[in-house]
Amino acid sequence: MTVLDLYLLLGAGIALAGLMRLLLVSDRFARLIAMNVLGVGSLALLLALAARSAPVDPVLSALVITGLVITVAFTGVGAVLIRRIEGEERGGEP
Amino acid sequence: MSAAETAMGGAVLLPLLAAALLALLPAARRRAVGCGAAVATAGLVLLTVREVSAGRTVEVALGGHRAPLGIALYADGLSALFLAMTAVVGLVVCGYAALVPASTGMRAVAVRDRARATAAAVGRGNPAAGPASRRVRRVRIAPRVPSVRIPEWRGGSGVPGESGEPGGRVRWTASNPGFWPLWLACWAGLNAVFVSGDLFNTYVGLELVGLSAVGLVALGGRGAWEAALRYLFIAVAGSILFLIAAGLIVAATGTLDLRLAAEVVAADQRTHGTALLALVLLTLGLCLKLALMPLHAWLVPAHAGSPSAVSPLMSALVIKASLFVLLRCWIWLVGSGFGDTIGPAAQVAGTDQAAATWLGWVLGALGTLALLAGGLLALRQTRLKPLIAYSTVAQVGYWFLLFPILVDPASATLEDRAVTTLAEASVVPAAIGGAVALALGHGLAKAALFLAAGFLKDRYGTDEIEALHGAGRRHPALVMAIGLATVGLVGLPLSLGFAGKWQLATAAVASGHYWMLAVLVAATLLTAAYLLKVLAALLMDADDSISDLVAAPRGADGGAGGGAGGAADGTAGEGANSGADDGTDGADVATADDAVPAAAQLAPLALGVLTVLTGLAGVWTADLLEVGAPW
Amino acid sequence: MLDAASPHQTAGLLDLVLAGCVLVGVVVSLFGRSRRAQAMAFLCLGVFMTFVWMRLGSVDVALAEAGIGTGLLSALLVHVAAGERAGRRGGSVDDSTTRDDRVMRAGRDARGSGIPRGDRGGRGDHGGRGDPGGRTARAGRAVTGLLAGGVVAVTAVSVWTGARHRLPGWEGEVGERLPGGVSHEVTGVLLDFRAYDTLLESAVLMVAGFVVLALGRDGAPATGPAFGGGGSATASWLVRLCAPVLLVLGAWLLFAGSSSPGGAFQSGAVLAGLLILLRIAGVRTGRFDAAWLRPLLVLGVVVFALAAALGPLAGGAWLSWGPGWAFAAILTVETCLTVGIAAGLYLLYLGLANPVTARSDR
Repeated sequence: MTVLDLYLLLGAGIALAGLMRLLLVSDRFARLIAMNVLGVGSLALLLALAARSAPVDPVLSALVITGLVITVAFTGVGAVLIRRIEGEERGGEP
Repeated sequence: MSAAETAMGGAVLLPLLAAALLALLPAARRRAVGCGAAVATAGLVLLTVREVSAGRTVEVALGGHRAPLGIALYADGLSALFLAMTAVVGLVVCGYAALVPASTGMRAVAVRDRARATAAAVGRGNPAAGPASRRVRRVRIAPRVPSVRIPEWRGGSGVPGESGEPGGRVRWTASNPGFWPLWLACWAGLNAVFVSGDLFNTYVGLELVGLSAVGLVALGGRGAWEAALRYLFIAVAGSILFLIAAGLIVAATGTLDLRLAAEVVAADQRTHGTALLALVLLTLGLCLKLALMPLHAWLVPAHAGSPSAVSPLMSALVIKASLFVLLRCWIWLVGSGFGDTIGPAAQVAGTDQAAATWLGWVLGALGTLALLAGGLLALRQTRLKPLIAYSTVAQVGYWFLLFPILVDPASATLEDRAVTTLAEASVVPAAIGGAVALALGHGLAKAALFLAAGFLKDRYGTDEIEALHGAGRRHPALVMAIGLATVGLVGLPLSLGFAGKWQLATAAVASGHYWMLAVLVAATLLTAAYLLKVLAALLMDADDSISDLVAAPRGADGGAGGGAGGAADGTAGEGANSGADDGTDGADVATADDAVPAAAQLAPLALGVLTVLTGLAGVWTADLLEVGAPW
Repeated sequence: MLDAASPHQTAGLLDLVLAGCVLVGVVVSLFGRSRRAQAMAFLCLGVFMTFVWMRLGSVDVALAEAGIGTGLLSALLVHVAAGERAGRRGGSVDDSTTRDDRVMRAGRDARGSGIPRGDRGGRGDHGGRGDPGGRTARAGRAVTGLLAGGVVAVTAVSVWTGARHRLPGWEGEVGERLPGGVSHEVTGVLLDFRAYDTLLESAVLMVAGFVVLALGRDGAPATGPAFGGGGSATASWLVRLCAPVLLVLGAWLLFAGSSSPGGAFQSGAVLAGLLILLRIAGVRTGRFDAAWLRPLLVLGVVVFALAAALGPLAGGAWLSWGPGWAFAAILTVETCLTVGIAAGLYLLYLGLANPVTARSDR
């Protein structure tokens, strides 16, 4: 298979694994990680599509960077919420 | 650029700029500036809507770069309708939040010097705050709301009175000024979604809406954090599925622009497979965000646990963004290309496009499930806000009844019977118009309901229906508002809900889907049942005279503002609270009356009246939808 | 070694090994036994993904991944993972054990501080999950999920390999229409052609900062000492030594972005990393945080939105940069964006401290 197909499949597989895990698991942190894996998979898909043109397509690369930053913002908020919730559960201990 | 084009871009940029600037202002000034920005944004939206209602779509190529390289903003009838509803509901909720600061959520305030504060509190005769007492501070909201799982606040490490633990103390007080920048950013995101003409832009707009909505839900205090986290996961999952779908569309059509991609899909048969897969993925993602049954579990805790000013925004507006994108993709993006399968000329597909037909039927089935199961679940609720949240879950089903008609507009076995006056070509437009009218009516009515419920909750500290018996007698305006909202949700004549249901039912009959009539009737009955249950409880006094309705005592820690006396408009309290770092706790026993002024009832009342008045605009709505429509 | 691959050459050993490493990283981070394992595995996954991006030919994305996607994200995740209490059972994802754990702990706490009985059940109840218990339900969900996933995967792959790929319609236009002064295409796309996306995305990061502020104490994140204390003296010394280097690197990435890989996001990530390292090294940033963080957070979006309005004032569309001053506008916007991004990412890190107990070091 070509390089393109390999990374397309890889991206699709990672995204699918992340999505399944996100919907099925219950632990908060695991869900956060799964959410990020889903994001990584989708970005891999996009960049593999960008790699069809040589040199790599700048528009799709820019979209991937945008998606990356947005995922980080969400993960940051998720991490803060997890800390707060667990801080509460422990009765306010650090 | 014409005025309307400028206004269209401004409707996104102005609230964003305002949100950024609001974060710099001290808490006391945020209300005024926030309301001012809201009015300005509504004005810009008005300009855009006026242009569209004159029959012209509004388009801007940002930066002067035309698609496919650049991004285009595009406002047509569908956009204008949703923009208008967002502006109206947003304005009213801003007004409510300005009048009732306590409705914007909870915030943590540092308590600098515990000993001094405790002494002060004791000095003011607060028995619960003595150093010997172990139960020092009570949670400020809802002293007796059993299902809100906030343990009584103990402060710090759970053992009061100890010095030397690592941190300071916090106490939770009502009114969170973080509401204003978050809400304005959310509004900017909503407007961005509604005027977007580019798929990736839609994705970024959806994410902006999602993140600010998560923040707004999290304002509800410690009980809402879990719900906010769950909502965060769902929002991201849905958006990333949409992103993958957009990637597929780019792969197949070579462009991200909505209209250009539609043209390619329409022209090139070979793209249909990929376009269909993209449609399936984005439908799945958006249904997650729309809380279509059975993916609805996240919605009820999130909407019910949000603060009073946030729940209406969530149920009435944030959900509509996903609905808007769903409609756009089905009808504009894919519909024109799948003429055989989707749209006025569709036949039952025997081709490889049968998947689209299947999907439409599945969506219709799930919509029916939502209507019936959601209605039944709503009936079983004992608390007001979860009941209204389940009502949202149910009402989502109405909008999905559109899809079977969309994919199968001529399934009649009674072909020659003229049962309606609808021409064949207008069955699908009527169905779409019906769904949109239902969505708009739902927005207005649900916002009114949530505002009313929030008022009661802030006033009396509880939203247990049993505990609120007889509240209607003291707040006739509120009951009126709830009654009008009921008219809107049930779909009684002279409301947008009625217009929508009528159009949907007519389209259903004209296309031969007679089962839909039964579903609509059953759903209407269920809606009436649970809403009348609420009204009845509010209007009738309790059977026993023991449970008299009293204003929430607010505990020893003072009312919404925390400042002395808790001024009616809360300004003084706001200022005092944000400025004072030391022991204003143990203060004022501001009663709930002062914290939640009666004038706040105007907000739900206004929305209720609008729910009914907009019923007169049913025809205008249908006409507006024609602008820029692909049929 | 990691040259960009031509898309249609056959996948070689390098690609297969890389794909294998990525898969291992995914499996361990999704199914790891403890939070620390998951966070570490995610960090490794990020490193491998950086190589994948390089292999696909995009240095900008690789830089962004290394900086933001792996670097900062892992900082946040490791912070959360390391914050588990020692007695906790490693955050395993097994439902029943964590739930029992919490119930027991809640019971202990409840007894210890005199919470009335009614709350105990409530406290143990709202654990980190939303599903009713029961092995059958869990197994059922797992099976359904796997089935659904399998179906989707098969469909996707079959459609994909059969799909006719059409190259994007903007091919070739990008190079021709770059604004004067900007010769790097990705920067041109981010700040000129699709500047609107960048504006909204900076707004997303700003909103994340807003959420942290709203959840904090007195509308600000608690600025207590970094988790784990001030760090060792050696680390502290090393960080202080490297700080100016990192600063220069961040600034260089920003300005290099107009002609080579780099740009606002990568630069912002490095600067945010610098701030985080300073905190870990024990530098007192309290006053800086209190005074500057909020204005810096909103600076990017404010300047960008105001710059967007320059277009209509000059008679063009929103976000149009006039031919004479395009480069100046882009550079200004980019600088402010960098600052805003750095502030936003740093704020996310600060937000991880618990405002209840963290003491202020103002």
